[in-house]
Amino acid sequence: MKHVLIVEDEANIARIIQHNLQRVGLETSIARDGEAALEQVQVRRPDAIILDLLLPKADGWTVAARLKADPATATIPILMLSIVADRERGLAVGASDYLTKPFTVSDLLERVGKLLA
Amino acid sequence: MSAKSRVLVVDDERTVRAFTCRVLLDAGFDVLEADTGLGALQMAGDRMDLVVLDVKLPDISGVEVCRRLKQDARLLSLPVLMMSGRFIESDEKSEGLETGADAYLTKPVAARELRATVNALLRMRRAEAELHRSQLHVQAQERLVADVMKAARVKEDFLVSVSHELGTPLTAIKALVDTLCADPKLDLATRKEFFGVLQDEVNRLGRLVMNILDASRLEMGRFDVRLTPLDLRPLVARVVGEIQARRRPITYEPGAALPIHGDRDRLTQVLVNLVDNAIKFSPLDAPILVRATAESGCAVVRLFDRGPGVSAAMEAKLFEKFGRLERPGVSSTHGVGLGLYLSSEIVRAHGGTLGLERHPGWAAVFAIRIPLKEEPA
Repeated sequence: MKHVLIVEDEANIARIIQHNLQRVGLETSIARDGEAALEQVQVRRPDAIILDLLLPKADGWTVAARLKADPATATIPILMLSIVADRERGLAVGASDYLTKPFTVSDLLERVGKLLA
Repeated sequence: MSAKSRVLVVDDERTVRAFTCRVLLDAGFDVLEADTGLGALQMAGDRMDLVVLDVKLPDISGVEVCRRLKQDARLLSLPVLMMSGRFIESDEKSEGLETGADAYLTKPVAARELRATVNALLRMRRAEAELHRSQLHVQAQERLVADVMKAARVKEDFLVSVSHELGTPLTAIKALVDTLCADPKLDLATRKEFFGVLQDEVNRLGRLVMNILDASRLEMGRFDVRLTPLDLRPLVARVVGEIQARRRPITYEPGAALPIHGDRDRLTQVLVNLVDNAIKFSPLDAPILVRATAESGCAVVRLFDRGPGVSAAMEAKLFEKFGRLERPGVSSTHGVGLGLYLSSEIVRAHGGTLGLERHPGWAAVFAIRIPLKEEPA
């Protein structure tokens, strides 16, 4: 079973993303801030990461940069998620995709599907 | 033409002084006279535009008078024309100029030379004053630009935080509605959970929108508070009850009845906002305490929390518009900085105060204080 790490500090948003990923047969875990995300990736390497950008402790940009700098995690595909439309910057730092909030659930699932294909 | 220039003539030789005064009066100046150095110093502060100063005086020397005048910050721009007899040492002349005299003439002075010199000094003084004024003007403009820049930054920060604060509940609402619509086979427990979350998020969005509307009403002076006699306790109990119903450990300690004149909806808005803040900034299982008491003629409702507290720097702008609580590490969403501002304005409209207190064992304690009003029986 493919495993997706959801990095999102808003509990309700994390919960609804988790529900939908589980519904299509994915395994999920949730990190509530940037530091927790980096720790969890070390413990168990996910197959993809959904990464919110505005996070406590370390923001999404920092998390992405650290993951891309480490050969062990550099190839994990990242889907960035933010209210701010900053797709170009996201792709420039190595994200595979960028989705602007508010998103439609079907759109999210489709993009996650592509990351895992 | 502006008012006449005032010239102080200082000379102890009466005939010389009379001549100097005559020339200046004829030239259209207001002329005042002094025959001693100390007398001159006393008069110099009285809106003088120029001093004609003899070097030799009976008490202190003209050079000394000049030095003292130039040491007085208020008189720094008062021009001094020094005069001396023909046989004076040239050392004394240079000393006079070194102490700050603006010009030096040797007696006997021709009427024309005196007029021309005085006029030249006054022109210089006017030019200096003009320069000073324009410097002040430039400084004022620089301040204005800085203020405008600051306002623009505040507005920009506000827009960024508003889009984040509006977008976050909207994101949750949209995803929840998508999910509920797309999945008719969703089990009842999850469905119930999602409707609960949906309700929370809609309320959160609604409160934010209302806060923004209230802030603009307040700005336009169209914010009204309708005061009627009521007991504050049931309002507190209701808000506490709503929180207890689903979210956090919250303890309520009601005291005696708290009769006040208040606006039920507005006060509920304040209480919800304060409780929301306490919840937002506290760790998940940290206790929140609400205590209602009567103290020295006031109904006092206090909210105690064990969040990260409020730093002294933050405290100063806590109740200002856009003065957001910044508590990094707790959440990325800090609000738009309207809640406490509006709450404080509402409590103020009740003749009360909203303040931050320090209590041992608690991080932040917000206290609402509203004067008690006993209803006549």
